[in-house]
Amino acid sequence: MNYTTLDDETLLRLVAHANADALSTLYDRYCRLVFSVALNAVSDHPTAEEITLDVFTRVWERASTYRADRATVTTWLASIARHRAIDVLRRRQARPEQFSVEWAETSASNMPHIDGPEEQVALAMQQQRVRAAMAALPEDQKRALALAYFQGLSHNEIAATLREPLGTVKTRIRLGMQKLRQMLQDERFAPADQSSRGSATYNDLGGR
Amino acid sequence: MAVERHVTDLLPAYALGCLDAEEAALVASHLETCAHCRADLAGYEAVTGNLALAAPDAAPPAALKRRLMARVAPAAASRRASERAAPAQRLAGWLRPAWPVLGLAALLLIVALGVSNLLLWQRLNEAPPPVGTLRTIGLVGTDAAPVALGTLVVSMDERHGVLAVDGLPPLDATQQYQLWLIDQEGQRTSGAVFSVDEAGYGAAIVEAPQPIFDYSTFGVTIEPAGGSPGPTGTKVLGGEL
Repeated sequence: MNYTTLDDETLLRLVAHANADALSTLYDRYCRLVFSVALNAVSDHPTAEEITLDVFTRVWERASTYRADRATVTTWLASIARHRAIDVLRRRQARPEQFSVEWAETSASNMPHIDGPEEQVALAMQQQRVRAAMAALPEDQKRALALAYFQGLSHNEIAATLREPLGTVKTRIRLGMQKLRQMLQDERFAPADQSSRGSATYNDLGGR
Repeated sequence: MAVERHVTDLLPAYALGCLDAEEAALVASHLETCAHCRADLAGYEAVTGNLALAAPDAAPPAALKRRLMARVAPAAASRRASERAAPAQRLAGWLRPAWPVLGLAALLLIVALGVSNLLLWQRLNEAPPPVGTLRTIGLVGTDAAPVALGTLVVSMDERHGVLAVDGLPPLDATQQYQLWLIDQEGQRTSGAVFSVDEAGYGAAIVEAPQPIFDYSTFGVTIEPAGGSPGPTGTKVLGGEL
């Protein structure tokens, strides 16, 4: 069986039936995403590798708990990776350097290669869309969002880290999220050939 | 509820998980009774769910995958074994309530065999076959039903059996599954027509015009309700001796 042609949900069903080949395919598809989230949070490769290993081990053990009506597989995996990384940071009781977290740049050179199975095409196209929206935000909003997302900092902690007034940080977070939401719903941020390639929609990727 | 009592301004940070505990509790309490804010929150949760895609690209070393696969390998072997046993266990459960009917059928079969073949009956009495040696044939799902599994338990006379399947997609009323017994020449003979429940489980009595172990290949296809003279639909399960 060619597992690379199977969609994410089918792969997870197979993983729930102890199919190691399906886990292998899911890993190939999402290891970079999971590792990227973990590495950007903890800022060291060995820990990010352990988190990635833990995430996929958890997928192996708990694939049957995945609920397609609650989140896409992409969102589910990213959420596990993010929370696992934040747990590690909290146990350390020390965060990495204050500006070590960042968002991807959207230059053409680091755009994901769009080719191959439909799942990968859809993921890569959505990635372009999210990165383009993030790139359109002011730097101060991006920085506040990065500290909240990757390091799990609260408003107060972000304000202390950035040495900015609490109200300013709250406004940056709120405006940043509102703008991202608006832009991700805006067709102008959709890749040009999205409609012809059956890409994931905004609602597919976490909307309810 | 008045607009000013909504927690609209706090929802983006709540979705991101960066509210302080007191504010988070306030929002959680409000969400319990406010469908408007729950709907609004869903939009921000979608944004949070997408943020991972904006993380800078990084790739783990190849050795990490080898560690993962080595970690799951022992569990994969034992879990696969228990998955294979599952249809047989369900079959046992299915047989229990039907036991009186099946027992009567078995008795009639034995009597018929006894009358028609006294010699065989005597030989069976002289050397009764060991109990619990029913042979089985395993069926696995095709690409159309990748998680499906089936077990065909063959009777001692090899002309009857019980097929138990699991993980097949439920069909609408116009369609049923059909088991095909395929001989060395490729001749297909219908073995059973059956449906599955909402969980994808089903069972059927199989009758074969010649000993089941004379056939070399077995398949299950989707057919119009009542079955077809020959396979016409998508193959969902297959197995070979």
